Amino acid sequence: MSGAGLMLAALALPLATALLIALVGERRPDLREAVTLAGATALAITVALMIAGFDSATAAPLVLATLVPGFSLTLKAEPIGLVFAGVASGLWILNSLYSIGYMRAEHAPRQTRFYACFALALSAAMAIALSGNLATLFVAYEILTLVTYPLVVHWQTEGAIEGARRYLAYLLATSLVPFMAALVWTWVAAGTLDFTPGGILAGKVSAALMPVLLGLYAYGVGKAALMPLHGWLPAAMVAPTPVSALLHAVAVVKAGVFTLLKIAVYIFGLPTMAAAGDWLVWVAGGSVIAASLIAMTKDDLKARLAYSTVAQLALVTLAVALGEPLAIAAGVLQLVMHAWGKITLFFGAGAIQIATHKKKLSEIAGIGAQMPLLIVSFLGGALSVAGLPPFGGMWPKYLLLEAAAGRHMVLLVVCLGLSTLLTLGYLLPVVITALFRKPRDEDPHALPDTGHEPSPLPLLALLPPVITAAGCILLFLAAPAILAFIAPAIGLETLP
Amino acid sequence: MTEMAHALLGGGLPPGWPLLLAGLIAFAVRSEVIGRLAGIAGLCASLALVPDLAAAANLLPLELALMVTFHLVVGIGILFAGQRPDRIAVAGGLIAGGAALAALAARTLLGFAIWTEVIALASAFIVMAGGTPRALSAGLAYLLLQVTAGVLLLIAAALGQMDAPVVLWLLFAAFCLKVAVPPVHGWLVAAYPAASPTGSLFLAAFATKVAVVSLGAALAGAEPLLWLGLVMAVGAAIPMLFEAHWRRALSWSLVSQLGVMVAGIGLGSPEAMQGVVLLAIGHILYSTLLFLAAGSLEIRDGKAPRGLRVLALLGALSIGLPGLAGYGGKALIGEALIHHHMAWADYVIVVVGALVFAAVGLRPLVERCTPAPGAPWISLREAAATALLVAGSLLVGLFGPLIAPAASVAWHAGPLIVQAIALSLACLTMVPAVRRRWPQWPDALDFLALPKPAWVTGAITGLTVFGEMLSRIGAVASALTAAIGRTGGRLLLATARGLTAGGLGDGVLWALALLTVALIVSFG
Repeated sequence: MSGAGLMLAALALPLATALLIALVGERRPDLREAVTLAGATALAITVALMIAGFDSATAAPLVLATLVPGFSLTLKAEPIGLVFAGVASGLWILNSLYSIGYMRAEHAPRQTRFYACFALALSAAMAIALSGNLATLFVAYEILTLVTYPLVVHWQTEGAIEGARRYLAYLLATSLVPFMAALVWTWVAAGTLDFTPGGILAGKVSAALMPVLLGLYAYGVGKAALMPLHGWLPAAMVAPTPVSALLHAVAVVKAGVFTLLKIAVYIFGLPTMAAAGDWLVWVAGGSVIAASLIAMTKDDLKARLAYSTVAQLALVTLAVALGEPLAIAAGVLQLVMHAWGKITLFFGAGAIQIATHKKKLSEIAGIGAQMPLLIVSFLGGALSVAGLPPFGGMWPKYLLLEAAAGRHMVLLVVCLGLSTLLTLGYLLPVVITALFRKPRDEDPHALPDTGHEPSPLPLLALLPPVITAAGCILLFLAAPAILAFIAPAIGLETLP
Repeated sequence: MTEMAHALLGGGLPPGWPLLLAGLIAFAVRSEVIGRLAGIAGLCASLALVPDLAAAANLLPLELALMVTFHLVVGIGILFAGQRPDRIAVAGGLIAGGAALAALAARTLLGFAIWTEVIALASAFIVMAGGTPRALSAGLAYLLLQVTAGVLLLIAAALGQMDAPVVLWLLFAAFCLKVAVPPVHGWLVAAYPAASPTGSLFLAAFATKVAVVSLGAALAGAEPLLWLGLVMAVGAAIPMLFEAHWRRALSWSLVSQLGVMVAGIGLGSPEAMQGVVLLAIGHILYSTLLFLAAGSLEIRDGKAPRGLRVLALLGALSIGLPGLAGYGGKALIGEALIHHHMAWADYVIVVVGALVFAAVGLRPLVERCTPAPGAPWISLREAAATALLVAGSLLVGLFGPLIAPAASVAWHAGPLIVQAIALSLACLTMVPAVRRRWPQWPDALDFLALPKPAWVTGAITGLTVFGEMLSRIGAVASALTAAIGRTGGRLLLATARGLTAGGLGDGVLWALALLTVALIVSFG
């Protein structure tokens, strides 16, 4: 199949999957979930083919529709987008397996809508990954917000509706005001919105206004959750855990930072970005530390993970703001590594909830004895997110350190070192409590039991985190290959 | 080959990969037997690869000998673990051993940082697998300190220029943490005896030895290390003298002997550096023998089997008898001290060596290793492990000069006579009248593992307080940002409502209005 055909397939396959899921409906749950798995596998194969056959010389744009002259919906494959597409599609398979285990164990209602919206969200994520200009990206970005709303509100309890409203309000408000303003500003200034190697803004906007435009983008892309506009992310944790796992560790939040990366590389151009980004470096650095500190205060596991995501996303924003090829490389790697690490953690938190009906750090003492493999996987994910070898998460942290050292930003070096230790500070207690604290029936300060009997952990909820944790180690080894793949696109001449 | 890929693989699979693989298998498969079989297979494969590795990485004979010694310890650990199920310790030992090989062969700071971190993680698991509350907290403190050291190393690697003062200080701090230089030595004394007897064998062999050898590569000849090392050697020998728990006494002696090595690194002359590696090898051999003896005693609840006396005697002799493993390295460092016009320091380390011989070798031998009538013999596994270690000890002791050319100076009359006097005096302490007056307490002088009452609990209490403080700051920051976010959101919504009288569809209109403003602004 040609490049254009593959790109269309990547968009159409999840759409078709969603349609089929809707058609099968609640009558045949097994068939419905088989459709999901088949769709996910087919999408992963499509993306793999795209990555394997990618050649920057022959990659041509594919115009889907022209709205007004100069403003068209266009698809175009490029390395960073393919990396994002690869992560999202690959993890969709694992997440679908996990969803089946989780949703059945929880006897969740409205599963057809759940799986269909999931597929739609993947289609939107693919459109973001493959978008050929900022307008296309913007449209797909909005669609992603809208199709994930039913997923976030899934339980339809009062709390879920409130959280989902917050989710929608933040994401729509940021994208409709600052993001669109920045878009129009860019269009007016540069006359185009095409993603162009080297950027389109150099010399088109005065140097004094450039940081303002960057600010509009940085806060306009609300999915990147830069503080203080991060509130939607913890609020969206009311969603079922598989949703939190794929959307708030992989597709939605990564779509945000991916958008920032694309804007830095193909709209601003790296030299322009580096000149405009100084203030953003410190905002993002502050965001890393503040979010890590807040994470330490959270007793609810998912809230802890949500703030951890805010901190880790800020590292990508930080990489973007540094605007050097090395830093951008770190940003792309962080996008990949954090996705795998954090999805492991979410899988772990969800599995704990399935098996023990416990959601809080203070309740999980001693559960490690029931599920050692799960806790060890969780530990692997935690160490990867913290950035320790031999886990994939080390590379982005290390490259960021190198980039910061290259700019002689001592404070930033300290901040990055501190962020690793703080990450351990809020993630390791989960492992330690689960493995080493006494279970609460032996603990005199324990809360009264809520009456739930612990249920066995379904295999489908245990395997995915084990696989993703192993993946974190494999990614540690695969990092140089990923870097080599994206190096031409970001102008990284000598591989680190 | 890029730096990253090189740090990872060095042009192929990392050295020690069979051990790493075997460790992962032993960790994943819940079967003692399969774990040990995988370990044996990995050990043989890894050993077979050593000659290739030596040729490829251009290793010195001493480094090669150290690698072979690592293999020996892995084998001993697997042998010993056969007596009592200890799967996690074996898996951790295999991984730590493989990573130790890779760390030794690493030619970049980044590669070294990565592999030492793997050793640290595996070792923390070994400590925590001890299972007691004491082991858990000690393992946690171990992990925290090692990770801190690892972060410092990574920052140093990222900074790049190896001769910049900042980098040197970072390396200095990281290695001081990893080599247990006082005042951060307590983690070692807390962690090593807390692990299972099998775990202690592995712990004593890999992490600190890799760190001390690499410290030599990075900071040879740094004057402060000479003094730190001497302080360490003497300071750690004192609590060792009065410690009743054999493995804890051995841990103190480990710190003390690391001090001798650090002092040698501070000298930095070629003969001192050879002495450091030779002593590292010798120390691995004799401390493994003694940990083996202590472990055998412990798994039998303190009832000595027959034959244990031989084991302990051979271990004790390996500490300092010329011709066995421990003598050459110490004598070499001593000679280097004399050449540095610090003959007094030579006598200091000889005395410390004799004290180690008396306190962790002779004394337990005399007081604990006597079997009750009708006691069973030591197991075949223990006998085999002893035989292997003694063979290694003899090889290193007799053929030391072959792998460390400078070691021939240890065979002159001067050092031999001094050593003979020291050892004889040490034996005198075993005269009943003297020995009975030699005090001994459980947890002796544990307060020296700073801060009181025990370094680990102190550190954890401190960290908890620190964490709570951070949490408070976090709570305030959280409330603040939430308030700012809420206020901002309310302002935004209020503006929107004011403009459009509410509703989502109206929000779009409102945005379009703002857009118009933006357009006008940018055209202006």
